[in-house]
Amino acid sequence: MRRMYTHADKVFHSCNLTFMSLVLILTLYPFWYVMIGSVSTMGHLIRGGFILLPDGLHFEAYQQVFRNALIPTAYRNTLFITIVGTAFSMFLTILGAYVLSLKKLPGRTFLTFFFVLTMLFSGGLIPLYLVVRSIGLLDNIWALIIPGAMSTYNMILLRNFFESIPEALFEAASIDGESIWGYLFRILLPLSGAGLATITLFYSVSYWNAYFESLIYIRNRDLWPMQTVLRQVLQTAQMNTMLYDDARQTVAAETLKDAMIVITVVPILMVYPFIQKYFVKGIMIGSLKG
Amino acid sequence: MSKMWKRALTIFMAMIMLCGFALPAELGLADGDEPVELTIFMASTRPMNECTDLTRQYVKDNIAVDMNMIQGDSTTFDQQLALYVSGGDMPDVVLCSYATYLGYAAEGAWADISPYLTDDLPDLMTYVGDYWPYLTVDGAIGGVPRLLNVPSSHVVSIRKDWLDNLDLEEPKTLEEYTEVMRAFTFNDPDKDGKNDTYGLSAAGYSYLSFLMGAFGASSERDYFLNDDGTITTNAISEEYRDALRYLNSIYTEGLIDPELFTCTYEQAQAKWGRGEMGIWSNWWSHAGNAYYRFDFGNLQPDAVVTHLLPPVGPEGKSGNLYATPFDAVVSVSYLCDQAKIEAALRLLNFNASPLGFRVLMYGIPGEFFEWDEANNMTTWTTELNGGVSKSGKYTTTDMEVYKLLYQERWQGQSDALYSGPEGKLWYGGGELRYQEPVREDVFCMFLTDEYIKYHAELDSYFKTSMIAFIMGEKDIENDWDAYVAEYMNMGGDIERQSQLKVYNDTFNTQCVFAE
Repeated sequence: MRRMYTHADKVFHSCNLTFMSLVLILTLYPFWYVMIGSVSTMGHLIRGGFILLPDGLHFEAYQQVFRNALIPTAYRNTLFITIVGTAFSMFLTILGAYVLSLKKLPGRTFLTFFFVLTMLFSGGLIPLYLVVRSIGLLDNIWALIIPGAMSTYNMILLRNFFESIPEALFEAASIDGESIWGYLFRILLPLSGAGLATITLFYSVSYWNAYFESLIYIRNRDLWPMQTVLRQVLQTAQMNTMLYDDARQTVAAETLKDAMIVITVVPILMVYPFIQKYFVKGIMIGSLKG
Repeated sequence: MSKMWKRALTIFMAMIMLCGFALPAELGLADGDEPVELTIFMASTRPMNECTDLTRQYVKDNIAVDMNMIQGDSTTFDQQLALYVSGGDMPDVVLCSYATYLGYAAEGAWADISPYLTDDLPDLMTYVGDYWPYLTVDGAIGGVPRLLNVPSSHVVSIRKDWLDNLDLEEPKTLEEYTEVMRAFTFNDPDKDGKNDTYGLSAAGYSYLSFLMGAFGASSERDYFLNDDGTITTNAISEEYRDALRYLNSIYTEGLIDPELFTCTYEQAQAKWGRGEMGIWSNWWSHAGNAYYRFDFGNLQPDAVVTHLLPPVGPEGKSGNLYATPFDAVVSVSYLCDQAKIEAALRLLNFNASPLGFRVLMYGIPGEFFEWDEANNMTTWTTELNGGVSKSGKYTTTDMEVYKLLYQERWQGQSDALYSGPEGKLWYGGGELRYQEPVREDVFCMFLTDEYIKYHAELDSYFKTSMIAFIMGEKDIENDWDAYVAEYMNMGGDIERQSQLKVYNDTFNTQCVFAE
């Protein structure tokens, strides 16, 4: 049956639509401006006013970024760190969350406190560096994965998600002879798609964006991830724009920055639509208990 | 000895002599020893590639130093260095700030290079000149200063076409400058029929120094040595107060862009590009950058830009902001043995030499640059051949990865190779720095404990007060005494007394403050 809208409903929907459209434009325009800025001339941006379209397609900024010989290896390193690191992190996080979600686990409260304590107090940068150094991970790409492989926050989130699944399932599975591992892999994980997708996204974004660790642990530039290289390209541009040193750089830092935002954000942004439906749901469920 | 043996010996000797002549003497070649690897840590973002690898190989072949570069991040440099030191991984050579150098020197983190500073390093000794005392801590010298060696880095750019439109001459005195700024603000200099221009704009308060210099003051917390041996504290001096009076008057009249105090470099470039001001106080290279990277030629096609000397004040005073002689030190780690210390100094001596500087700046000679016997750059592939090297094998990008020391004047020669307006402005701006009068800040290299303790707070108070006086938020006549009292109470007096003591001790003088 088709619903009949009253005059007030129509007015409300019109206003609502107008307002939300404005919000949408306000939200999208900065992204659009960055896209325009990355392919426009500096003169077009300097003239000021409201800019809706670029003044042609100028790819000098992208050329400047990709002229850097480190880009291919950096992209490879970032992909490795993101894929392997996320898989490794998820493995550890799932195991930790699963164990802590078992209500009959002896010392469960103490173990939870033990993990949560690390969220409140960290060892500090120098001790962490000394540990990484002592286990021989300096100048090793695993130094970008292992030290921060498990996030307590993510683990607690996933534990809460696991706890929201009825315990009766576990008991039923036990009666049917399912082992503790079988319950995890055959029942719990298939039911936790939303939570897993969310945590996977958290980890992959954090690995994708990481650069500080590489500054500290990695001296060999062939092991640098993409973010470190891009940061260097941008800093060089800003310095050169200020001081003029690099004669080859005819691109202003502002344009270069826009191009780098596009290069950096677009790949990871493309992942969102595929897991968006899990994303909101996963966060909501995880946050209900704790 | 048989004839054959004599011939062989003669040929052998001749070959040795030829080899000796073929190698440039100024390289200071090692005597056949294995190259010494030096890990060099510096905040750098410059890309390393096959072109810079050629430079590394060239240095390795010619002075037996293998430069293993560790590039740090400028924002976390001190943190990274602390990690390396605490982990026992201190790099052999560290290019750090002067303050960082002094801090680590007090802890004995640097090797004492003073016994190695001999006449065998002629270019380095000439380069550093009289600056060794600034590097001496507890009788030891732990590094070499990276000297800027220019009186000032600020210049004044002006729209000459606007002067022509208004039938005005290039200003020289403060009065003439004020008249020009007034005309640029109110007389429609761009002839567009709109009142949309200012006399002056810049990226921040420090660029007002060129006007304050006309009163014998500056825009920073400088200390000036007077002819009678007294030292003037700029922040509380009558000269500074006079300068503030003048700036307040032109601000109130509307001759200065009110956004000047919050303007960033990019915003100032945009304003210049949109033709919003006729006088732009800027960094010496910025007017050239406007053409090269900010599309100024298209935005203002009729513009004619030139540089000016700062104005001469009523008492004949003039000056722009003083540039600190050096801001960084190439320091040598305490972990280095004799071979490494010698290698580090050999590298620095090479960097200070005419050829060495250009190799570390532009790449290997012949392939990436050429120069004549009078030390002038004649070609630079980056500019003249679209970045393609002479043989066509390499496309250059940024080549300055291994440059540790500055040689501003030599570097300026490459500016002259540019054919467009940017080249003229870069070169002109660069050379103008050496012609500008400045008042030297005689305490700028004395970073005493008291300075480190009070500097940040004093600086903040000084700047905010300056802006408040100029904008009229504080009254220059009624609030001045309170400002001076507050400044001194905040540590201003303790700080300057500590610096004066070090100054007198260093130069064996008996200077006192003028105030």
